[in-house]
Amino acid sequence: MDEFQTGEETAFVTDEVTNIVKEAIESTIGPNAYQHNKVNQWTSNVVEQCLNQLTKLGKPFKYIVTCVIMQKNGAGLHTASSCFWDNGTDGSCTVRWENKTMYCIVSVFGLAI
Amino acid sequence: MSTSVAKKEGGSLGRKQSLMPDAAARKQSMIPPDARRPSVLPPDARKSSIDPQHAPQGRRASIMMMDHPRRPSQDRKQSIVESTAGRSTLIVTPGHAHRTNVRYENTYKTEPDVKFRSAEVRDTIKDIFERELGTMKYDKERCISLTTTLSEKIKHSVKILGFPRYKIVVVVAIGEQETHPSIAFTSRCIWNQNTDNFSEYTFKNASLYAVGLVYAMYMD
Repeated sequence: MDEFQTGEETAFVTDEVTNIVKEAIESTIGPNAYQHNKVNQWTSNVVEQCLNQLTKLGKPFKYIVTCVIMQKNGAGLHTASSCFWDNGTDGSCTVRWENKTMYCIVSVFGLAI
Repeated sequence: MSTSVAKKEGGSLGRKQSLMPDAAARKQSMIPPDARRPSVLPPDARKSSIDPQHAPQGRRASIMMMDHPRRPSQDRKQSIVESTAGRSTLIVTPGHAHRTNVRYENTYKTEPDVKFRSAEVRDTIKDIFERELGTMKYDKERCISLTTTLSEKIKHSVKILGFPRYKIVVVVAIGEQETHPSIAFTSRCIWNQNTDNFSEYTFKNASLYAVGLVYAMYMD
């Protein structure tokens, strides 16, 4: 009975997830310049890699990962999220990354099973 | 005969003084004594009903929370239903009040009664966007607060639609409309394919676009 109640193992750890996301972005699009025909593939790769690493953590969570890649040409973008969940066990983290030609915003939501 | 709220050994100290001048002036019970419904317990079971371990056949076991071992019968004696002649008093002492916060375990209902209806939610997002954004021009200051209020409104509407045991995540993105599209939005989830779903709607007008996403994860 006790293993379900240990706080550290079943809460969403933001730092760990942030690192995973940063690594995924850097390895997929790190050195590249924005290319319209490759953007779809990049977003898919970033998301796939994030999910693979998250499942390797082995925690009892369902994950939602969203990725936005936007070219740097002066347009504005605002995102917001609102969640109906269990505050004690669930959590989210958002990573904003940029290089010279593009922005990348990745959000991870973790919902405890 | 007066009814005492708390039974104490000290006799008259703990006893609430009756306001009636004498017992004869007391209002008679509305129910005549011979019309009272007989007790559902078998007559020999009454005295032993305090002890949960030796519950008589007619009595169901008490439903206690599952995360602690059954307490010894000494604690149970503190909450007793006593029958005096015709009147009963329920005495509950705060024997359980000191317990620390209990975390309830899952009840594991693997299939939802009501599945998430993505088409209905899509229409809801569409209505909210058209009502709130309409022909609005993209304005940086306004859009910052608009995204948060829109996501709250969508979450509230989805809750009203009523999908019990579902956790809801709403994501709203508003951006400026450009002549050459230069944005890609991707999302992927690890979930239970049978029970979880999502819904998405994109709204566009002359100067801005808005993307609304609702994810629903079933909590079994």
